[in-house]
Amino acid sequence: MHPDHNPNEAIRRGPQRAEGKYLALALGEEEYGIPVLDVREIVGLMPITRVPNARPNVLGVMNLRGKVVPVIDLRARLGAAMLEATRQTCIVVVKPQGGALVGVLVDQVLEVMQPAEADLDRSPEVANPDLGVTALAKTKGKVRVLLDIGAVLAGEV
Amino acid sequence: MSIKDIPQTLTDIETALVLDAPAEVIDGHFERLLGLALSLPHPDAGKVAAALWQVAADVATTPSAQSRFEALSGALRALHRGSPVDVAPLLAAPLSSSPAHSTPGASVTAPPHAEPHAEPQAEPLDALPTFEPGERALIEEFILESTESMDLAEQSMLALESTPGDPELLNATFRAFHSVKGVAGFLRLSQVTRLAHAVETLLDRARRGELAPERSFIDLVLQGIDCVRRLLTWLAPQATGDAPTGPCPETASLAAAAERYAPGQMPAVTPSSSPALSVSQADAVATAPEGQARRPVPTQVKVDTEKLDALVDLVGELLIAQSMVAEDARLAGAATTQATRNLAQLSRIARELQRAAMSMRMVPVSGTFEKMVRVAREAGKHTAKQVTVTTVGGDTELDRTVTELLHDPLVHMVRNAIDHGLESTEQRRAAGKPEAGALTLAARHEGGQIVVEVRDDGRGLDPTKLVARARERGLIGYSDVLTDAQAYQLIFLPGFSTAAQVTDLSGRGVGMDVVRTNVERVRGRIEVESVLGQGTTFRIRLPLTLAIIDGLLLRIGEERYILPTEWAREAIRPKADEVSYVFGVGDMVSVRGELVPLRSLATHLSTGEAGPRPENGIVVLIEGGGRRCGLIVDELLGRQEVVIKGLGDALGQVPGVAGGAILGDGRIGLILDVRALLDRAHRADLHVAA
Repeated sequence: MHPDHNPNEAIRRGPQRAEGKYLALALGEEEYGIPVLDVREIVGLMPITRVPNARPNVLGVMNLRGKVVPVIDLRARLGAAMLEATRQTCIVVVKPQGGALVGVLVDQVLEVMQPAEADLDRSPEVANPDLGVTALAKTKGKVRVLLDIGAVLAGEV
Repeated sequence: MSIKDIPQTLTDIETALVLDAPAEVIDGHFERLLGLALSLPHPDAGKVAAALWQVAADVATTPSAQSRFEALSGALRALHRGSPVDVAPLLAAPLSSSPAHSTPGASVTAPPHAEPHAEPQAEPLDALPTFEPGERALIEEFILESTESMDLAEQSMLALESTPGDPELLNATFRAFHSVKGVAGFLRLSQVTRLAHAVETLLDRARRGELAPERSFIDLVLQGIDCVRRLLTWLAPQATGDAPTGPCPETASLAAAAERYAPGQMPAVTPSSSPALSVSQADAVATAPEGQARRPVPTQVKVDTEKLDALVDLVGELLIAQSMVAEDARLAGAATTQATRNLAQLSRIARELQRAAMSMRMVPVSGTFEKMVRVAREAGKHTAKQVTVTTVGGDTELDRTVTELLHDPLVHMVRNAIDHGLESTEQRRAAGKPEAGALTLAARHEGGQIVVEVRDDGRGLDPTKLVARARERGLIGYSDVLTDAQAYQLIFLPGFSTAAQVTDLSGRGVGMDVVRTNVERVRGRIEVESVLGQGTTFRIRLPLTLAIIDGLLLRIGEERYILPTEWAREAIRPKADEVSYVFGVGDMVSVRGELVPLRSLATHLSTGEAGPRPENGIVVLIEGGGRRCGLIVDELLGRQEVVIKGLGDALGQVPGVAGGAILGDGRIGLILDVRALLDRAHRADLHVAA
């Protein structure tokens, strides 16, 4: 297996190798990419404690090795369909630049990808900074939405 | 009267001066001091005491008198200890208090840049300003920071020798001296300021390319670094309130050399050309045989508070995990004697570790008390009242965060005590009390808590007037009858009074609601005791640590919550006939004849479920700040110590939740914000206080 196919391996190897790389993940039926630079680790689904009076997309808080970390469900925000939890469901722990540690519930982590510049569509019709969309990546016949995860989360917690 | 009384008398005098005691009191102290000094074996001791008495009158107004006072009292203390002190130069200084240029300390008042190039012999030996006790922490910080700055400057200068063209190294050294200069100026340390300014100017010339950073230049800057270090070492005793030992290191010749430096020239200052400098260098060598300047306060390490918090946090987790292992019934059944012994050893180490980790965050309360003495002094001056402040238990240690958050409430309480608590001098005389009001600040350990008290011997709180005021303000109904204790609690209600209105009354409700909020923020409680005509005591009870709380584990629906035990009074299973519905308040439960408002936690936490009826669930009675409320929960699961954690920076503060904690099974339980719950219930509570 190519090391890049193991996402945690790619994350561990640090920022030098992470530039231009994205973690591809599935939310509902859609596929998204978030910069590997912003990803701290990927953990399996774990018990989440509901927090009363928090924002609607905040699922609650989880225990990440003794640290209390909020968990967000981005599916409603991104208009993705809600799926039942499966064995693939996991939590991507992100720490965007200047932001705090947040867990994002995703239906599946697909791979670490490094799209060629030619495959990226950054035209203003698709890229929307307000929504946190930086570009569309067309690889292997699939279209993935690349997200500025910091901007997406800013309005959620 | 014995010789032992000299330091005590000096302290009495200093206290009296700080508090602006009446002249006859101060003179009385000095008479005693003179008598004591004359009985010392040293022939000049009496002269020193007399000079001290003479200069005392100007201490409050003249900086030069202040430093002279310091020098003389330091000399007298040294004579008392039997140290050989040459008092002749001290006594030779003019006894007049006019700030003549030759008076020691005169340079303190002159801005350093306006000073003419002083010749070495003109530099005063003891030009040290008098520091208020409250400034000692600043000096300590200054010494620590400047030591670091000088280390950095030294590294940069040494690196500059190998890479002469690197402007960043010059910049780093410049910044180091600049920051030292800034703080030294603030602390009125004119010698440090002048020296740092001279070296900084020299570095600036090099930065702008006016002179090349050649060998002689680097030597001079390094000498400057050593000289600042010597000054810091000499200054160090000031941080603990001791008199400096030995004369102040000479700095003027080096400053002058830096000011006159020209490229290519060897540093003007060499040990042989300046006898004064050679003396202080000999000192430095004597104290550090390796020839290295001795680091002031070398036993301290600066640690990021975040790291410290993380350590305390982890140790807390360790302790909880340890107790879970120790109390595991299955393990206990299978354990051998050896295993049991090992487990006990582990438990002991874990507790020791916790104590050690906690102590790193602890600071003595004396620093805060010293600031309060100053606040009291100013308040006394402002209100033209005489105040004698006594502090008790200053060595009691408190969590650093608690100390910081305690500062504002204490300032408030001290000001209130003097402004409203103490009577005017005439009133006190008429009441047959001593003219000077007594204010006591006390701290002590009591039953796993820390108690801080602010006590005055003033007029006391008048319950009748407090109740009248509360009625006027619509805070209680006209038919309400309050006990004295309930009446005292009124002063903590928001909107009870403002300063202007309460000054006519006996009350002192100025912002006491804010005081209570601040105290409760550090999980403390505030109590008030008062005897009319005899005084008032405010007592703050604080937890030993903010990291761990003792909690009741509750089940509400599917979730578990933690209720801090300190707020819980009792848990009851009310019978149906004990619960009644009161219009405008909601369900209430009768507890031994008193009606207490009920809250459904399920509703409060919007779990989406209705929660049980009071008679089907368990009611936990909580109480704080004179407010009570009953919480309806599904089940009481037990009592447990937990480590308090924030909910993550991303969530920040969530209403109704004080934080989270990791429970025995690894899941997170939320800690309830009891104050918010009580705030919601308290109005209703007051309406039925009768």
